[in-house]
Amino acid sequence: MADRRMNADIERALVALGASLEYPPTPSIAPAVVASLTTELRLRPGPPFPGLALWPRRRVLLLAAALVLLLAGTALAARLVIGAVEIRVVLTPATPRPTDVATGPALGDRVTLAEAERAVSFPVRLPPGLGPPTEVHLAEVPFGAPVVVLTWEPDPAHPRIEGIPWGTMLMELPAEEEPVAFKELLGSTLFRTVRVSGNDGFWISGPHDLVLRTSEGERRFLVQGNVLLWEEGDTTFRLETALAEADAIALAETVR
Amino acid sequence: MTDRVEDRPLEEAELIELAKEGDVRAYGELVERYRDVAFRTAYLITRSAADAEDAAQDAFVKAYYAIDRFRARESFRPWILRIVSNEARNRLRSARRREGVALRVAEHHGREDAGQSPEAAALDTETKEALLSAVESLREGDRAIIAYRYFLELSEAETAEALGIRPGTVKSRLSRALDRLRERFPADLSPREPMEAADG
Repeated sequence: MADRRMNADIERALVALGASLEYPPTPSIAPAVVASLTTELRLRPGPPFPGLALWPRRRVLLLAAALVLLLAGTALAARLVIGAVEIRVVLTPATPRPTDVATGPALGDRVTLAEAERAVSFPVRLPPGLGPPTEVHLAEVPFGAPVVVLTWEPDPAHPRIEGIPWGTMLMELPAEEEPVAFKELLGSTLFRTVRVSGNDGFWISGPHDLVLRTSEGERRFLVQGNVLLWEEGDTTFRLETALAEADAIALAETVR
Repeated sequence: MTDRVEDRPLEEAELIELAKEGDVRAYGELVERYRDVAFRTAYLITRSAADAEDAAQDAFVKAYYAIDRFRARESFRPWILRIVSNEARNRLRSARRREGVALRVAEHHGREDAGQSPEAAALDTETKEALLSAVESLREGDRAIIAYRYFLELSEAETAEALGIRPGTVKSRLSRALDRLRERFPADLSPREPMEAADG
């Protein structure tokens, strides 16, 4: 068959081309890797702090801790980490109560989407079905790339989130060695582990505090919407919405 | 501590087991074995020697911490290449405003490894350059699957593992990519008659 023969010819030609490509000399990588690991392991006698490289261990921690919490009910303080977000279950709410609402300047500098993409070290992803975001903000963190905050106006399919003027808010956080955002949940707040496009995530439903560690100190927000947290690649996503869990996960799975 | 009998080189599986037990030096040997293909994979994605080096290095560090997840019956090469590819793509995204270096066909007489491989010699330089230009004009997904399958010479199964897709998907994507390549490069690539060889 002519097609098969032409494919065989082009495959042979591609192998010939591949064997002729010019690459820069391969650097000596092994000594740097060994030195890096040796130093890191020496500095951290226990399991190293869960950077992105450690996601399997973090996943174990996350699932195990979630199970303990589910079994133990509400009277338990705990600490869970997913990507750049740490979740703390607290027995009593922080005082004074937060006054910041997630809108306007409290979200960071308002920028264009193109400016945000230039400023961060990870690809800014969007749910295509929502169209362009109404506002884009950059919240500077003490170290590393800033956090991107995207907001969309409410529409019939995405009702307004209680307490803020938005129908959808998507926060994208870079991978960092230490969490840059904290969620403080009361024991009575509903949360559970979920899967988003095959990745671990958390569904949080009920009022809770969001603490964002910015370069100007910690900002505390009262969150009244439902929140879906998940991690994909080097980015942690936080979707705030009035949608129910299944619809929120469906929306999250369109983010690309 | 594992004895190395008669200083024989350790098998890949032995190095992996030692690495799982925390032997960083054994892991270093594994890195040494795969650094070349890892660097080239990263370079094909980033088109920057510095980014490729960083991506490969970071990938090996991350792979060390994830090595407990590596299953002994699988091949290490596609597993590490997948991690390298992810690292390289992340770097590419963060540096997307920067132009990468175009791939080039090596000058035959200028290569350090002295001389072309038989595979490379199967095509003249002009045709290679035209074919490379056609490959470069394809969209990213097509370029990637062609690069993994033919430039890095991964098997279909390895390509699937490295790209994180099913082997059947590799077959269909590759077929479509080759169709599109043939549209851009309609030249006849059938092997030449062995006249020149007869002369020699």
